[in-house]
Parts: sequence; structure tokens; C-alpha cells
Amino acid sequence: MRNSSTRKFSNRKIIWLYVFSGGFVLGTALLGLLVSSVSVPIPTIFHIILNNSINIGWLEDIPANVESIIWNIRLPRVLLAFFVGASLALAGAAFQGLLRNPLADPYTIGVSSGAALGAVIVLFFQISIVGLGGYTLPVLSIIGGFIALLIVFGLVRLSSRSLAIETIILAGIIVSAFISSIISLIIALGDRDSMIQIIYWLYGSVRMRGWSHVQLLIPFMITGTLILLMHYRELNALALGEEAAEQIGVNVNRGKILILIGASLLTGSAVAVSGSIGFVGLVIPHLVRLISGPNHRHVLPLSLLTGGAFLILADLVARTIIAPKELPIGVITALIGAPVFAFLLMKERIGKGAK
Amino acid sequence: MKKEIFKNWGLGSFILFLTIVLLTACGTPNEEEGQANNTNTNENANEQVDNDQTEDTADQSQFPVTIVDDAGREVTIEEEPESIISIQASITEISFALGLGDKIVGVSDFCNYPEEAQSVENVGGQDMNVELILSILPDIVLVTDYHHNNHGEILSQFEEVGIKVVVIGSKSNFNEVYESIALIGQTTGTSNEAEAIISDMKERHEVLIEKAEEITDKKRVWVEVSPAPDIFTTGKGTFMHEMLESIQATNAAEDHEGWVMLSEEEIVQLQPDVIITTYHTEDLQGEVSSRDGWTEVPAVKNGQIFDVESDIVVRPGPRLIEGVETLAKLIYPEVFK
Repeated sequence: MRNSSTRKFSNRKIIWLYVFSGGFVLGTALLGLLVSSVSVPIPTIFHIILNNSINIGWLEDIPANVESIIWNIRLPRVLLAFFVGASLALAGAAFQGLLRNPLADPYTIGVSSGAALGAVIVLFFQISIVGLGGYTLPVLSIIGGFIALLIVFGLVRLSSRSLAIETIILAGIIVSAFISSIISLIIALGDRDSMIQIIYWLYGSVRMRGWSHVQLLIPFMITGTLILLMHYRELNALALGEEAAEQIGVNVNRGKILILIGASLLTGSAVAVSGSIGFVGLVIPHLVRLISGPNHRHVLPLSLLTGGAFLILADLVARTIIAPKELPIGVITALIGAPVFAFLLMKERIGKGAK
Repeated sequence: MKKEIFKNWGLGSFILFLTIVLLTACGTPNEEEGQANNTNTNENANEQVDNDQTEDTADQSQFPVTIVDDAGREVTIEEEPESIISIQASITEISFALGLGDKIVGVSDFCNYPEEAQSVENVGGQDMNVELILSILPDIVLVTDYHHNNHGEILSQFEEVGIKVVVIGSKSNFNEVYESIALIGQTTGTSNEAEAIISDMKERHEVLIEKAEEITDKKRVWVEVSPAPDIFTTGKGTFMHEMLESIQATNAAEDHEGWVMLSEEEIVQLQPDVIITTYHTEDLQGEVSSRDGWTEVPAVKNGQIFDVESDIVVRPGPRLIEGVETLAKLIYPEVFK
């Protein structure tokens, strides 16, 4: 009796969490569309978006330049921020669950660095794989991220049998440092223009990307998200340990590989379009887990929503705080993310001590 | 067993990746080259046709006018532009010199000359504030080849809403600067003013070159565009080099190409007679002569160390001629009084 009532309570809580996260996304998206150096009234914004997407419009004589500002600049920017944030947070949640490691995220385990190297190679050498065209960038990023991941796991396997928390992070840091030095080497060998271009890109930003980058990201984002959301059971089972998971009938290896592929797809494509943006994948899943509990059925989608909204907000701060200039968005996420993470760490320890 | 599969699979994917990379590395360049050649020949053809056309119309500064910009794009300007945005300092200087000051409605971060330019709205630099430019809605936006190469999508958005985009490429010699002054003149209906500026610059330069003919003992000049410890200088293919050559001075770094960094040992070995810096320091003589091992350099011994304003010797605008005149007076004060 008591059991069912607590379950009902937690169900209701989860529903509210979804409502709240959804509202957070819509709210930040609206703010992102509204706040900028050029002010456009809300009804006009709605008109332009509805008119362009589903052909419903009620206002007349919208100047072409205002329409272009909303439809070609602000909307793709907000969408890109959402998709990138969502991808990184979801990938972070998956890595943390898979490795049973609270410190795992695309950055700490080296996937982002690998993806960045892949992207820098494409940007620097102007590679274009026949048949892929513009998609060369995200594809090579994803491959780069996945290779980095394989190397990290290879290192871990060679150095110790278990996937110990510290070993994975150490291996991740080693691989990241090595890859960073390769990127520095490429920058040093290049001329001034490409150097500036690569450094700006590495800072991380979603500015001046437009619809083409949204288009680059979407197919990989959808595939990766579906793969991960379909495997929440494996993640839950893995929380018990690999042996226990196998005993309750979960195909651990297959699940693991698919989850790694999904998370690499998300990270690689996000890095390809926006550069390096840290701390989203680390902090957001932590925060979500703190409120929703450890069930990955909810942790994954809630991380996706919150991560996306958080990055829209971070981008908004990045472009308004010292307007008309802009800060790199990675600076903002690190400035907010690092203290929050430190706070979470302390809180976790105090919580454990109290028990 | 499973572990092995995992390992093999990892190896397999790595090999696959390598093959893809190799294939693409071999495959693409040829194709790209082929395309580039094609477009180049097209562009050249266009340019010739348009030069013929524009020369007729530009003389009467009548619109519409069709120009070919430095990116090889053909742009037709229907009416005399009333509002102009410039996203580079040199373009802003040229525009103001052409008497377009009243029409300039947006400039970049680095536009510091003339003074009026600083009170114009700032629309960013290499990264433009696209929303602001779209909301200002100028008739023309003058951008650099950097914008053309990196932000093509945004430039086409400008064109979609009716803003004409003209690309002004980077310049490295006087003739190219004359060309870009003429191009901006054509674009904005100020060809006559452009002609006047160009011939004034040419005449003043000619005077210097003539006077310099009497110089028999060429001085060796060392140029510093950034202070120690990373001393960058201007080699061949820079304005500084061209200026020094034209006034019968020897660029100490003439064996190098473009902007390069040399070590102090190499510089001392060049034994320059004059040192020209383009950065401001409080105590320039003291700073240079206090460097280890520089006391025996002729320029340091004779106190021939001068600072010139960087903008008049590196920025491809109308003030370059002031740059040559200043250099001439500093290096050969007895000839150019």
C-alpha cells in the first residue's frame, strides 16, 4: 500500500520534472529569439517563424531584413545551441552510466579531443570525401572521437583489468593531452589566417553558423539520441555491475558497443559544428540525476532537455554580456559549470559523511 | 573470445579509417584543382569583358554600373549608394578619403582613422554583427576576402535582402592599393575622386623616387613591427619593402618573404644603419640599445632609431604615401628636407 503510494508520488514528480524541463527549453528559446542587439517585437517573431515553417501568417509587410534576422540568424542559432547542448548532455549521461563513473563526460575521456582533431584536419586540409560533401566534417569528427575512445579503452585494458574510475580518467587525460599537442602542431605549421580560424573554432561557438550547420548536425543527433534512448535498460542494468547485468539477462557487450557508438555520434557531430564546449556533458547529467533519481529512463531525456536549454542560455549570456562583442560560449559554460560541479562534489561528500 | 572480437573490430575500424583518409588524400586535390582552374579562367574572361564595360560608364559615374570585385564576383549596382558599411580599416580610410564620410553607416572594430570614423556605429570585425548589419540595411557592404572565404553563407543573406556585397581583397603593393581605390570609387560613384587620389599618390611617390636617384650610399634599414622578444620584420612582398626600395634604401630583411620573425643574433649580424619601429614605446632608444649585443650595431651607435605610426606603413590605404614620405625624411634627412 505504502509502496504504491510512493510510486504514484514519484510518477507525479517525474511528470512535473518533464513539464518543468520542457518549459525551461521553451522559455530559454523564446529569450534567445527575443534578446539581441536588434529588437524585434514578439508577435513579429512568431509570425515570421510560423509563416516560414508552416505557412501560417497574419501580419503583412514584414521587411525582408527583419525576416532574415529572425529566420536566418537567430532561429538557427538557438536551434543549434539547443541541439549541441542536448547532444553533449545526453552523451555525458550515457558515458557516466556506462562507465559507472561520475567524472566521465565527452571531455574527460578524450572523445571531444579526438573529434576536435578530426574536425581540425578537415578544416585545415580542406578534405572532402567524395559522396559525403559537407558531411565530411561531422563524419570525420565522429570517427576521430570514436578512435580516441578506442585508444582510451585500449590503454585502460592494458594497464588494468577493470574499468576503474581513475584509470579511465587518467587514460582520457593522456589521450587528450596527446591530441591537443597534435592540434597545436597543425596550428603551428599553418599560416596566420588558418591559425586564427582554428583557434576561434576551438574556443567553441554557435555564432554565424546558419541553417547549413543545423542540417549537418541533425541526422547524427537523431540517430545517436534514438540509440541511447532505446538502451536505457542496459544502462540501468550496468549500474549494478557487468556481472550482475549479465545475470539478469542483459547482453552487456552488445549494449555497451551500441551505447558507445551512440554517444560518439552525438559528441562528434556536436564538436564538428560548434567546436569545444566543455562542462555541459559533465554537470547537466549530475544535476538531473540529483533531482530525478538514478533511473536512466528519465535521466537521459531530462538531460537532453536541460542540456539544450542550458546551452541556449549560455549562448544568450555569451552574446549579450559584453555586447556588441561576443564571448566564446565555451568560456561561459566553464565559468558556470566548474563552480557548480565543485559544489556538487562537496555536497556529495557531505551527504555521504552524514550517512 | 568476445574480447578478441572487440579487439579485432577496433583494429579493423582503424584500418578502414586509414584507407578512407588515404583515398581522400589522393582523390580530392586533383579534382579541386581542376575546378579552381575552370573558375579562374571564367573569372578572367568576365573581368576583361567588364573592365571594358565599366570604363565607359564609370567616367560619367553613371548608374547602373557593373563591377567585378576582388573575389571575381560580378556585382551590378543599380543606383548611387546612399549608405555604406565598411568592415575593414583600410576600406574605411579609402571611403572617407573619397568624400563618402556622410554615407558611412557602419565600420569595424579597427577603424580608427579619420576621427569621424570612430563615432560611426561599430558592426564588428572579422566576426560581423550580422543582425546589426541587416537591421541597418545599407545599400552596400564592403567586406574583405576573409569574409568571402569564411562567411559566404552570411554574405548571400545580405544579398537576399537587397544589400550589395563587394569584396575588397588583401593588398601587398602600391598598384593593388590603387586598384582597390579605383574599385571602391566605381562602386560608389566617386571615380573622379578616386582618380584624383591615385594620381596625387603617384605624383608624390614620383617626386620621392626622383630625388632618391642622387643617393649613392644606400643605407641598410632594419624594420621592427613587433617589440622584443618576438621581433617580427617585413620581408619581400610587403609595403615596407616596396617603400624602402623606392627611396634607395636596402631592406635588411630582403632575403625573407612577408612578415617573419628573426632571432636577435641574425638581426645583429645584418648590421643595419637605421632601425625603424612601428610600435610605440616610452624609451625607444633605451630599449633597443639595452638589448644584449646590440651596442656595436651602427644604427644603435649613431642613434638612428625611429618610430613611425604603424597605420601609415602597413594599412593599404591612401595614407601609405605619407608613410613613404616619413620614411624618406627619417632615413635620408639630408636628401629629403
